[in-house]
Amino acid sequence: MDKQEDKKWEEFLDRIMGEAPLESPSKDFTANILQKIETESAKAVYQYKPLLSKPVLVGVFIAFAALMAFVVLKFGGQSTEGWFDQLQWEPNFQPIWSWMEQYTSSNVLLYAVLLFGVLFFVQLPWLKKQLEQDLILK
Amino acid sequence: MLTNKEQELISEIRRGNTRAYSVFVDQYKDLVFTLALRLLGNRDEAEEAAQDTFIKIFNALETFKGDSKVSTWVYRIAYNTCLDRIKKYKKERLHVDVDYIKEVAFSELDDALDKMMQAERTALINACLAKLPAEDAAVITLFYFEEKNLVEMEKTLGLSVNTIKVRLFRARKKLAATMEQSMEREMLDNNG
Repeated sequence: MDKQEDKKWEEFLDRIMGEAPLESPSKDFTANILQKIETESAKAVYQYKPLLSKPVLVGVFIAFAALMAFVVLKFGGQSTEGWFDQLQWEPNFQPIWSWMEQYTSSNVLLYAVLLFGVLFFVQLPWLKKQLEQDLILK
Repeated sequence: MLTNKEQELISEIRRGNTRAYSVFVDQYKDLVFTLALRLLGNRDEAEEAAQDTFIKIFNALETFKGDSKVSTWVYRIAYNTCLDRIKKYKKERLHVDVDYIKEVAFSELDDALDKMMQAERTALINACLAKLPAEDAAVITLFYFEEKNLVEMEKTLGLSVNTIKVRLFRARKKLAATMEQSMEREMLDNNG
């Protein structure tokens, strides 16, 4: 790098850059930034925060799983011991649903109930999204 | 590193005074916008990048320790925001390969510039800066924004002083070559 030449180039660039003025952004630049900052602070207020954080939930799940494992191993390990085998697993629904035995429904009613159910489950995520957007906008 | 006035202004902003932040933005907006414009070569994009820069600055002001000049810190955030944008949109501007640049006689360039009107000269300089690859435009612009302080530039660009010197030399040559090409094209247009 020839020092003499470098110096001349630097002087030339000084001249050029001296004549390159600073550019200005649009007039409402500062106002736009302040508005964005205020919107972001508002968003932070409405930001969803779960009651139990993820690590706590994982901890609770692990503790619960460990407790279940302990109970099964301690009390239900052998077929002759523990309360697990004493449970009656044959539920008898006869007295509860006996009134339904004579009931018949039309196909139209069946389709209506089915459609209602489908629409209900479709609307759930859609409504959730709408409500969240409204909260953010407010 | 910080002056009393700067310290007061930053304390006010940290206390949530948005009016103080508008003073801060007004102080640096032209410099940040000019840097963004020279890196991105487009006014709309430069405005968006400058806005992003000031939002990042507002959020990061809490952690600013004052171990560099405020302006250097602002330029560093602006420079990184523009580089991220270039990477994101994978935009590459005109690539001027310094090895293939013929030797430009700066005295001829100087004379030619003298013959031009002030407004024409400014327009030509801006157009040529916009044609440079982003990193070259950044190194030249920051050299003058930082008042030729290579130590401050080191903090802004995250490069060693020697690397900056080499880049500056190459960037100067590229700018001169781009200017010569533009002037030749203009003369051809005027004559024919």
